[in-house]
Formats: sequence, C-alpha cells, structure tokens
Amino acid sequence: MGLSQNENEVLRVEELSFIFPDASGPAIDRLSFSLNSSDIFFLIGPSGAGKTTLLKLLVGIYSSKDGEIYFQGAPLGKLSQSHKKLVLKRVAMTFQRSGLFDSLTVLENLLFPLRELTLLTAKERLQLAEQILGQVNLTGAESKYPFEISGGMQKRLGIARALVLQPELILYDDPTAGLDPITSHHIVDVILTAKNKKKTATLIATSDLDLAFSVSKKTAAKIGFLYQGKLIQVGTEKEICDSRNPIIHQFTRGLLQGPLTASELS
Amino acid sequence: MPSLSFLTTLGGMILFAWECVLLTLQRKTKWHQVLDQIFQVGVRSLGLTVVAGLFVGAIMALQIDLQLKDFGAEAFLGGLSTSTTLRNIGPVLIAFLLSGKVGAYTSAELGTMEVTDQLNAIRLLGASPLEYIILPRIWAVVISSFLLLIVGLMITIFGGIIFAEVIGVNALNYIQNIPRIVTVWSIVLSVIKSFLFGAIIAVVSCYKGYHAKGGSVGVGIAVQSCAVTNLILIIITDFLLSMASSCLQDIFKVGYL
Repeated sequence: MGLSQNENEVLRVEELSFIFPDASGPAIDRLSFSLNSSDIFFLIGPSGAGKTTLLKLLVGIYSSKDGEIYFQGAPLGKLSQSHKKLVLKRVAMTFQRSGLFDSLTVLENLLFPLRELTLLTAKERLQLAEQILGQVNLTGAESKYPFEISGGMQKRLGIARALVLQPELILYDDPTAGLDPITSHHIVDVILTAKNKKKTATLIATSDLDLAFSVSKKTAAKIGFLYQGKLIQVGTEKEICDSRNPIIHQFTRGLLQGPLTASELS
Repeated sequence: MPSLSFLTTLGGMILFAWECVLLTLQRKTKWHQVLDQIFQVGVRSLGLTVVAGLFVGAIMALQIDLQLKDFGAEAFLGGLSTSTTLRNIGPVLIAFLLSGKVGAYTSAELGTMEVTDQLNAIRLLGASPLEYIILPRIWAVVISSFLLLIVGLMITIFGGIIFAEVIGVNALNYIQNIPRIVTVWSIVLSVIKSFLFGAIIAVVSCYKGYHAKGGSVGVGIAVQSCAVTNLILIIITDFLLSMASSCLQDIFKVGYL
C-alpha cells in the first residue's frame, strides 16, 4: 500500500475528487491509494461516506476530471473511450443490490459477459460458466432465475459473474450486506479462494466490521476508513481498532455519542 | 420552475430518441429481442385494446346519434361517427390506454433495472444499455403501439356498427355512409397519429425508466412521470396534427372532415 509505482501495482488512485451535480460538497475528496496484485484492501466507513461512489468511479460508471486513476500504469482519464473500455474489461465489480439480470437464468447471467466480451466458442463458454458455478457452489441452480434463489446464492452468483472473465482487479460492494453470519462466512471463503487462485487484487467496500477485521487479522489486509469522501486512516485491523480518531473510535465501537450523526450510523 | 423542467425533459427525450435513431442506422438493433419484447408488451395488450375499442366505437355512435337526431340527420351516423373516431377520439383514447399498459410496464421494468444496478452491470461489461436494453424496447413499443392502435381503430368502427344496430340504425346503411364522409386523408391522418403516439409512448416510457433514481420510490416517480408526460405529449401532438391537417385541408382542399 503506497504511492510509489511498482511492477505488481494494479491500481493507483491519485488525488481523486468527485462531486455530484447540485451537491454542496464533494462525494470523494482528493483521495489517494494504491493496490498491488494479490492485495486485499477493505474500505470501511459510515453510510454516505462515498464507498459505492468510489467503486463506481474506479470502474468508469462515474467519471471525474479531478485526479487520476491508473490501472496497471495506464491513466484512465487520458485514454480514448475505446481504449478505456478495453482496459476496464480486466476490472470486475459486484453490486450491493446484486445487479443480476433478472430476465436471464443463473447460467445465462454468466454466459452473457462471456458471449459479449470473449471469442470463446459456445462449448467453451458453457464449460467455463459451469466451472465457475461449481467454484461458488451453484451447481444445480443453472436454470433458475435470480428471484428464485436465496440472497446468499444471489451474492455468490454476482461473484461468479465477476470472476468469469478472470479479472485482475475485483471490487466488491458490501458483499455480505443483509446476510446471516454463516452465509457471510461462506461468501468470504468464496472471495478469498478466488483471490488466492488468480492472485487477483481485491477491494472490498463494507459496513461489516466483523468481516473486515477477521479477514484483515488472517491475511494482514489493510483497512482504509472513508469519511465524507476522505480516506482518514489506513492501517491494519489493530491500528484501526486502536485509532484515537474520534470518528473511527465511535464507528468501530458502535457508540451513539460522538461526531457521527444518527443518519451516518444507520 | 416546472415549465423549464418540462422543457429540459423534452430536450432530453429528443436527444435520447435521436441517439436511438443513430444506433438503429448503425444496425445495432437486436431484432430477435424486439420480437420477444413485442410479445411481452404488445400481444399481451391485445385483449385490452379490443375491449376498449369496442366501447369507444359504441360511445361515439351513441353520442353522435343523440346530436344528429335533433336535426333529423341520423343517416349520417356511420360517416360522422367513424370519421370523428378515426381522426381524433380513437387514436387519443387508445393511446391513453396503451400509455397506461405498455408505457407503465416498460418504465417500471427499466426503472427497476436501473435502481438494481442491472444497467450498471451492463455498462461494466463494456456494453451499452442503450443498445442491449433500450433499443429493442423502443422498437418493440413503437411497433406494438402502432399495430395495437390500428387494430383498436378497426375495432372502434366495428363497435360503432354493432351499437348502431342496438339503437335501431341499420348496419348496412351505417356502413354505406362511411365512405361518403371518411376520406383517404382521414385514414392517413389516423395512421400518422397512431405512429406518432406509439413513438411518444416508446420514447417517454424508456427515457423515464432509464433515468429512474433512488430505489423503489424512484421507480414509482418514474412511472408516474411517464404516465403524465405521455398524456400531455399525446394531447399536444393530437392538437398540433389536427391543426396541421386543418391547414392542409384549407390550402390543398384535401380530405374534408
């Protein structure tokens, strides 16, 4: 984690800012960090801190002229649209609300990106899709529609769709939101297995502190605390837990009294 | 200012429609998806259109018969009723119904796709939601609405004939009177209106759904706004076309009534 460029660096964000039209303040405020291959980086923070906005900026759903995002050294802001599209094919993201195509079956949800973005034959596409479904324990659910499977299965399908193109960077937006602890644990296993298998750089935005702290403890992953669009501290699980910053202190301990308002804690 | 906001939306919809026209010219339309959507939005609206058409035709026959009786001119019922239905009331009323059925379905479906990140997922795959999701729906709604309007108009005429029998006007006389008043121009105007109303329903419902924001509340707002915008634009377009038709009639002496 640092600003110096190196061979393993997958993602570097420099002084990135973003403001929504009609908003009074920036949603992302001069934010900088970098991520190497095999790295896991957790982004935690209260509601409205800018976690989802940052992820959407990183994958090009939102765009900003303030600051720069480098993917494997290529500055996204300076690339032509077609080149940028080509570069971003190596980045995948799972969405908080799954983002699954509800008119397509489980299998078709995986085949869609393969059909659109690869030159594989129909047989190869099917083989790869079934292999990835097996990896996330969804074998047998191929012909079901997303609304026919459980929340945990939907999350796994979202992850499978992100994995199917074998990206070099995966962004997870609140992957365990609304799931019970056992299902959350299973999702974490799927994420870590995928990351270890391909040495994929992984960025996880979450409000689930247990998830962030337990994985950070096991893998020495760094955690960044985002507040009002600023990365106010980056550190290990212990450094974040022991932080003297009153905002982080209140958030990690779930205190009602402190600088964070009730709406930010909801 | 609400009027400024309406003009901004109108401008947005024109640009949106233009983008879809350009994509169509670039042969980006996936016609197999258009056929799927025609079944979803068109075929399933056929029953409603038939029922509505029958009653619109009957209401027009009843209303005009009441007026004609005062002048002892019931013989003109077939022509007058059909002409009024074809040129104005029929296309407008059926377009209203379709904006509720087809328009609301399309804007709610697209709005849900937007707020559940399905459209973002497509963007993320380097694909264009306009090409994959919007364009097939636009064409499906244009084609379906146009065909349903044409079917609906034919049914209104049929409804008028049936009701004429009920109120004691000979059906044969009713039918024979139609070509005396209904001209080719009436039919052309009716077809033009049907196409334009279909296009309005398609563009408005896709635009509103595509721009939905903020969860289920956002979808509700998009559907409501779609319904209101459709009604306003259909009424305004009907007025403008009727005015244009009237002017053409004066200049070129075409298509009386």
